[in-house]
Amino acid sequence: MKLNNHISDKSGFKVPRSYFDDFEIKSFKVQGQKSKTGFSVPEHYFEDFKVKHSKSSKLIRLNEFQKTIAIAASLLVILGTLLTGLLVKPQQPQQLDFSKISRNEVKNYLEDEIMMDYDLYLEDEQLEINLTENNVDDTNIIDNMDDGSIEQLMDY
Amino acid sequence: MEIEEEKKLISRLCSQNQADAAFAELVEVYKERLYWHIRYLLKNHEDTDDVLQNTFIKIYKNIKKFKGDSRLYSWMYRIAKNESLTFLKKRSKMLKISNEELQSHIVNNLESDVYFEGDEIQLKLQKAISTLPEKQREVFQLRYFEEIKYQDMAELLQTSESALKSNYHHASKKVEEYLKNN
Repeated sequence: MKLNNHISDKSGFKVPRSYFDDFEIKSFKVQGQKSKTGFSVPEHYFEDFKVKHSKSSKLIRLNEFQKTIAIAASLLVILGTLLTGLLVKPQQPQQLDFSKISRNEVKNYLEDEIMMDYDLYLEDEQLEINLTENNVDDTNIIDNMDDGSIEQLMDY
Repeated sequence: MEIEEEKKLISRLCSQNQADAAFAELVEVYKERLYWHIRYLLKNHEDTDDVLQNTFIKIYKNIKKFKGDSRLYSWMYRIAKNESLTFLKKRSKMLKISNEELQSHIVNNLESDVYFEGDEIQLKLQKAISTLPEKQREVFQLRYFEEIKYQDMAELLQTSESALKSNYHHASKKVEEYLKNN
């Protein structure tokens, strides 16, 4: 048996002293993951990993604290609302008084808003009347048609 | 872990006087595998550590609800996956961005991550993976990085082997295409 087993006799290649004694499959696995993906973990992360059960108890304490804050805030809001109700007099709601609207205002509103729609309606009606009077001759229709429509007609 | 061994561990986990020791054993056996599953989904070590902690706490609290319909690891894997997806949803809500935008945000952060030692090609590969649909991304990572067999993957994801093969095929094509064009 060789004393210096970290040196190969034939090739002259050598490995670090006690390399084979320290070699572990586990480290190989982690290295393998790292080299393929590029992701690494802090040193001794898996050896030191512990599930922190206290995390949940901390959460309960925080919830209790939050509950206390929420109750205190709710009480403050209720107290504030009550005090505001007592100290501030409610304003009378505004009532609509039609007698204050002048005749001119009503007339202008009718002319501007409602009659405008009526004008539009009239324009449509006139257009309809013109079409029913049969005053459009064939030449006018052909002049107003585009080339595509004429071609379509020719196909028939 | 063999099925018989697993059954013994579960009964110890459910017993009052052995639960803590059994749980420590469970953490020891599965921490690394669960860590990498979560890490491939979240990319960042600190986030992974938080989610891994939450996963084990959930496992501890719910072990009595485990009915044994699937293997223990499949059940734990689903908890880890749900915790990771919930984490990602919360993050995208917080940042007011879509899931797709979040994926590219996470990958862009890798360049300055001290726990990412990948070279240019590995970074590009991560960018390509981030463009995949969720299911294809999951299958690709399980197969390519973790080298999980389709048979085991079918049990983990409750999907047929042929569907998984098809998912991996489409994902590989897309990754290849991305690497060629970018």
